[in-house]
Parts: sequence; structure tokens; C-alpha cells
Amino acid sequence: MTRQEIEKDWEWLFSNVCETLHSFDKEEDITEFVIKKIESVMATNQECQDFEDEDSKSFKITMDKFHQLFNLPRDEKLVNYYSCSYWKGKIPRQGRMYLSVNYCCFHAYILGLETKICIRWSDVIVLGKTNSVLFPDSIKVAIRGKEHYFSMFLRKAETFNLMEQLADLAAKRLIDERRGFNEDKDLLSKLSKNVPKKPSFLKRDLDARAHSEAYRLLFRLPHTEKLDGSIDCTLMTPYNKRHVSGRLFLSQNYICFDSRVKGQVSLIIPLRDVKLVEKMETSASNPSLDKAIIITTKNTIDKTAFLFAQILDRDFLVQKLSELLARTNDLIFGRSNGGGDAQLQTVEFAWKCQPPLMTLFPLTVIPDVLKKQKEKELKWESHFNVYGRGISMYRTTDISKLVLDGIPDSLRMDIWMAFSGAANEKATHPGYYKSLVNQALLQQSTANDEIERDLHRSLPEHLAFQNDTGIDALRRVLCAYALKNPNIGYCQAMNIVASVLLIYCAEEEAFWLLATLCENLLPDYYNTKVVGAVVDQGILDDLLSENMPNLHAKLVKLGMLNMISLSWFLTIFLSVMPYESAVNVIDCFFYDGAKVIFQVALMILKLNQEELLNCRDEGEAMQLLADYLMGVHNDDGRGAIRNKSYDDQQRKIRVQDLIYKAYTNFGTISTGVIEKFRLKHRLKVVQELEANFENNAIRSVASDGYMTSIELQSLLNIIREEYLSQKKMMSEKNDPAL
Amino acid sequence: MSDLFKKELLFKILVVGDFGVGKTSIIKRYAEGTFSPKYKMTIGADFALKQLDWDSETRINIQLWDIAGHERFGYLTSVYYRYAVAAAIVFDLTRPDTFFAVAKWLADLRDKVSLPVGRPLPVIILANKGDVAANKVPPQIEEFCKKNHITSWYVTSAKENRNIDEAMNRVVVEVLENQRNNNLYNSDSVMLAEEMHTDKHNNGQLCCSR
Repeated sequence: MTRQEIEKDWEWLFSNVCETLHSFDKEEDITEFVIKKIESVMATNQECQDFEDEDSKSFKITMDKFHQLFNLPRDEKLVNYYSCSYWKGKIPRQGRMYLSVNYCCFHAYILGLETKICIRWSDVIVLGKTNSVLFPDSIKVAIRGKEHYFSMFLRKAETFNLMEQLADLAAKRLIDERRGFNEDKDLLSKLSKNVPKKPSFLKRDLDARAHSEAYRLLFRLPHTEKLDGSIDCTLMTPYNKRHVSGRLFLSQNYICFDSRVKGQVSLIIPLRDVKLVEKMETSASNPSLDKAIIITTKNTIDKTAFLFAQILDRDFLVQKLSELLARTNDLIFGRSNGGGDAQLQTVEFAWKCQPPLMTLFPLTVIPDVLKKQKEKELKWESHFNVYGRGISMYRTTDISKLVLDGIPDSLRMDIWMAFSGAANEKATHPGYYKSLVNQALLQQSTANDEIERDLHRSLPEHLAFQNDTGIDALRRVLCAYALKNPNIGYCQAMNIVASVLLIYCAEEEAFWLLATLCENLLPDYYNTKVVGAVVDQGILDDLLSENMPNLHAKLVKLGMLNMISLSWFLTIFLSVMPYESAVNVIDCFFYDGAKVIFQVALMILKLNQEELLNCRDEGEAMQLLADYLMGVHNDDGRGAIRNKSYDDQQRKIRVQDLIYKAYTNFGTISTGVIEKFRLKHRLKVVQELEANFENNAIRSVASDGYMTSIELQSLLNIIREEYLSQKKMMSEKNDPAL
Repeated sequence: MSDLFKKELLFKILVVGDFGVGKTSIIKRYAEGTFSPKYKMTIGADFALKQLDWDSETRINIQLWDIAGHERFGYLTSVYYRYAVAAAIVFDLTRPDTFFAVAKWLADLRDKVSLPVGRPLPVIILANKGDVAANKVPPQIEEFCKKNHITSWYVTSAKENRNIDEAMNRVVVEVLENQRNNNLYNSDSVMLAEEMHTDKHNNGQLCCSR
């Protein structure tokens, strides 16, 4: 901005705004008015620009045609269109597929015959690629009672991915009504280079979402993290003095690196830890240090610097980095201020954050266990010396091995915090937990009542929870979370998870781990219909039928797969295994993501396959598995003393062996595989829920005899149609981005 | 499922009710003869076995299914209801609202489980925590039972082992009566199992026994 421009704006303000200011009495009012005025002017200007930049002219013409053809409101946003054919009976009709935010449409007009199809994404039950004699190489879209087949796409993979994404967004909106569709306007102002022209702004937005999603999964970052860009480079790995080639990723809060060779090394640096970014002088003698930068972190224990080299577009990256860094510093400053204010407003309760409860309520020492813990600590310490410690350690296969063997009790908290990303959440929200607790304890709510009832049944075998100190800490963590996330509130099973977190972690850390678990690792698990857990149950069913078809058939016959797996998923085995064994699974879970639960679940079933196949009824099978799981033991850890029958349990398998076998037998089940499955099952589960709900409603009303079930069904369809379009409008009205 | 011919019977009995009313305590008391004030909560379902030598020629294996009371899992619990032959609905005398929930649990049971030839599932009601609040029995309970064809209800205490065996014996008697009547129609209980299985696909159309 030049001085001239500033003066011009000032003149405008002076002539347009100052006149009206006389009508105010108070000075505060004047200030407020002026701020509002400037804000609104900025907003309108922004909008004008957006409209110019968003979409090309030709795309707008198509969009108009799309609205006309299908008689859709003008605010229905078209994402993209593709040429393809639709199978009407045995005849393919060549035409165009239009994909919009809420609909999948098709139109063909050949030889006077018109074909028009309009499917709402939120009605889709199955979306898949098929290849049959009748419908060769097609995309199948199924809604209740009807299937549609499309084929002859020019870019089938791209089309299918987009369809999947749109259907998934629709399903997620049905799960969580408040989750509207927000276009990401940040993208418009984003400083980018070499971005190929995309047909529509929305398509660009959706592509960016997909990339961010993949990025977050790769590094297990918070669900709000948006990928800014990525670039090829090398990372200097000091532990073996090599330059590893790979890719550097940049988002609002993180710099990440992943080696080209999978698993070789990865690195996560939170931007808030970054102290300095420097360009290195290029030296002719060492070509591997060409175009290098050094990132220094604020790590107080041992000053750490990371060296990236061979960055083709180094200047751009550095510019980008300094831009993001400037924003990060503002953010932390702003937030910590906000936290301070909130504290002043609420009543201070007399409580303090508890340290890990295992330190307050130590269990009687078993020499063997203590020795093993010490040995492990030594191993981890020497690992830290080589690869660094905390979030920004170099993550190699060496650490995977250590994690698989179980993290020592004393290090659990720090490692869990680092791997899960909860450490970053805690660091960027100082004072937040405290103010949440103070507010939550003041409140009367159903969530609080439900929590109260469950406090004593969470981990009753541990001394810490036979005591007010532990119970109070558990209450605070759960009530604070219920207040933080009213969408979830409180769901049973969260108490079991939280109580174990509190054994190993300090109170505030336990809170952030619980939040990360609920929001990132196990999405929608604890909401009012535990949809996420039901989705994952469906995935386990699929995986089992793929891997052990005989056992799958048997369990289906006994009707028991869903009986056993609910608690496995909701409590990550904590409610079915001795907790000191289950925490080893949680070690892997925080390190490797939710896929671990599937691997371990499948391994448990595989190890019991023969016996399960011989079970006569579901009770016998349930007992078998319950006994087996209680027999998963951990000689390196030590649990609380339990009742006699518990200690009499047979020792079935070392938890370390179980985990190791799970990884080797089911290594192909990656996070990516699980995400693909989740997408497919989410559609199905959401539709089943809706259908169930409708059937129940019809059944309870039909008994009145005024209308037949069929009449009621069609009435319901009309209401649903209206309701969905209403909801759509509401969500768009409430959408701050629009 | 069970082997009727060798006089060894298997009964699957459901124990339902709002959360924290003491379902697990009752089951542990009955099956293991123990009581602890601090049971871990049930997620999904848990179950226990009890062998009962009913008379000189009949041995009954009772499977007690402890079904989680939290409403978020409520719609998932129908899988546990399959093949059940009876149910106990538990409420907590110290919390009146848990008695009002009995009607909801009953409707749920009657909706999801029915025996062949349209007989309603035998149900008893257990007013638990009788050791602390035996005098707080809701006055409406008699009328409620009569209206809903429930033949018996008991004030129980898992803590003091009061009336638990009596109540369970009563359930067994009702189930045996039912079975005797059933045998007139259908002597093969495996068939029954198959039937119920296929009916699940019809969205439980059969289960409208109200």
C-alpha cells in the first residue's frame, strides 16, 4: 500500500463517515460504529473480488444451464461436470453428469429422447465402481430401492473421487447437523504458485480439502489443520549423517517432512516452536547443501536445528514460512490473552490440576516389573539422545519398535502428548482447561448428572478412584470436555478412557488427550448415536470376511460380531483387557492411529479361530473371548490389585506378542485403507439409521389405523424433502463464510 | 441352541434397566454369590452363566445377559435380544425416575422379542437397592404389573442377597411353563432359532405382539 492510497481511503472515510458521528453521545459508541463501518466496507469489497476471481465465464454458463435443467435454486453450487453415459435398461445414453454440493445429476438429449436424473447425495447408500457384463466399467449409485449406473467417463478416477467426496460430506452433514458446508475463502487470497486452472472454485476447494485430509492423516494432526502446500527437498538426518529425500509439507501450524522411502524418517515441527528460519550460503564444495534452509526451534533443553536442502523454490518457501510464522505468533498472543480474561470472569474454585495419579497412588513395588521399567526407560533415553525428544524427534522405524514393545510408565504422558498432537493443542490454549472447569462445575446439566453416576464405575479397581482425589479429577476432565464439545457432551466409555489417561498423565494433559481422541482419532464415536463406532464395526465385519471367511460366516450365524466389538472400539480394549495391557495398545494407537484397533481385533479373532468355530452358541463364544481378553497380560507393567477371580484368570498371551502378531499379520491394513472403508460404511450407516427411524415412526403411527403404511411412507418422504431443503437453507444462512 | 431331549436346558435371560440401577450387581450376586459396591460399568453387554439343578432330571444353564443401560447404545442392543426366553427389568428404589423408565424398557422388550405363536416374553420387575430404600416402593407398581401382564415383582438387594434367588426361580418357572406350552406346537427349539433369524430381515414385522 502506498501513502497515496492510504490518504485516498482516509478522505473517503472523512467525507462519508465523519458527518454522521455527531449523532452519537458516547465516545465508545463512535469507536464501535467506525469499526463496524470499516469492517462492512471491507467485506463488500472482498465479495466483489471473490465473484470476479471464483469461476470462469464458461463455467458460469454451464451452471445456469444446470439450474434450469433440474429446476434447482440458484444457490445450488455446481462443482464440476463430466461427459458420460447413463444406462437406461440395456441402452447407454450419452450425456453429461453434473455434480453439485447437494446433488448428483445427469442429463441427456438424443433423438428427441430426454433423460434427466437428479439424486440427492444425502440419499445415496452405496457408491462404487463396478464391472459386469450388463454394466461394463461403471460407477454405481444406489439410493433406497433404486440403482443407477454411469459409464464411459473420460476421467473416471477423478469423477469417482469427487463423487465420493461429495457423498461423504453429505453423510457427515447428516451425522452432525451443525456441520454446514463452508467454502474455504482463504483459498482465494492464498499465495500460490503453479496451481493448474481448475474448472470451478468449488472443485479447487474440494481438492484442497482432500489433500488436507490426507496430510492430517499422514501426520496425525488436528482436524482443523489445512495444508498450504508441499515441496520436494532433502532432510539432513544427523543420527546417520545423510540427506534423505522426501517432501516437505506446510500448513498453518506445522512444518512436516516425510521421506520418499516409506517409514524411513518423518518429522513434525510445530510452527510455534520455530525460532528462526535461515537460508544457508550455497557452498560450491558441497552440492548436497545446495539451496538449503536451517530451521531452529525454541527447544530449551537442547537447541535443535533442522536442515532441509535441495529446495528448488527456496525463496518462495521462505517467504511462505515467514508469512505463516508471523500469523502463528499473533495467534498465541491473542489466545493467551483471551484465556486470562475468561478466568477473571468466572468464579475460582478451590482445586488444582492433579499430577499423574500413579504418582499419588503408587502400587506396591514388584521388583521384576520395576527392573523392566528401568530397562525400558534406559532404551528410550538413549533413543532420545540419538533422534531427539518431544514432538520434533526424527521418527524412524526404530521408534516404531520401541512403541510396539510398550512405552515405560514414566514416559507415557510425554510420548502420548507428542504423538497424538495433543501437546500442540495444550500449548496453544493456555488457561483454557482451567476456565472450562470453573464454568463446568458451576453448571447444572444432564451431562454432569450422567458423569456423576459413572465416576465410581470407571476404574474401580485402582486405589486412585476409591478416593476423592481421583474421582474429583475425573469429574473435572469429563465435565470440562462435555462443556467444550456439546455435540458429544458425555457418552459412557469416555469415563473409562479418561480414568486410565489420568493414571498415567497429569490432569490437563489427560483432558487434551481425551479431546484429541474424541475429535481426531475416533471421529463421531461418542456422539448421540455412537455412529463412528457403528461405522467401524461395519469395517471390522468387512475385514473379517475378507481375511477369515469361515470365521466370519460362523460369527454372522451366531449374530455376535457386533456384540463383541462395540466395547472394543469404544474403550480401545480398556474395558475388556486388564488396563495395564490395554495401555500398550493405546501406545500404538496414539502413534499409529485408529487402524491399530482393527489389527488387534482381527488378531484376537484369528488366535481364537479354531475354538470359536466350535462354539455351539453365542454365549459360549462370548465367554471364550471374554476369558481370553482378560488373560492378555503384561509382565512389564503393573496393574492395580483386583478381586480374586480376576487374579485367577489364566495367562493367555503377552500383550506385546499380541500387538506384534497383529502388526505382522495385518500389516496391509493402513490408515488409508481404513479411511476408504469408513467412507463407504458411513453412507450405509447413516442411511440405515434414517430408515430405521422412519420405520419406527411409521410403525408406531400406523397402529392408529387412520392411514396405511404406504401412505405414511409417502407422507414422510414429502416431509423429509421439505425438511432437508429447509435445513440446507438454514445452514447456508448461518454460514459465516457466505 | 439348547438340548431339550437330554433334560439339560439353556435359558437366555436378559437383565435390563436404566444405568446404575444395579444390573451387574444382581447378576454377580446370583451367578457368583459375591457383591462389590464398585463394579466397572458395562459397555454393550456382558454376561454370566449359572447352572441350576432344577429337579432330579433337569439341569438348567442360565445365561444372564447384562445389557448396558446408556441410551446412546440403546438402538444397538437389539442384537443381544435374540433367542431370549425371559427378562428381568431392574429399577433403583432410591431413584424414582428409574421406575418410570421401566415402561420404556418393557415396550422395548415387547417390541424386539417375542416367542413363537405370539406369546409375550415372560418379564419380572426387580426393585433393587432394597437395603437402603425398601420403604420407597412406588405405589403404582401393582397396577402397572397388572396392566402389562407381569405376574410378579420383587424388592431385591444385591448387597444383602435379598430375594434374588427367589426372583430368578420365579422366572425359571415361567419359562418352563412357556416351554411346556410351546412343545405342544413345536418340539424343536432349533427351528425356532432359525425362524427368528429369518424374521429379522423383515424389520421385525413379526414382533408386534402388543
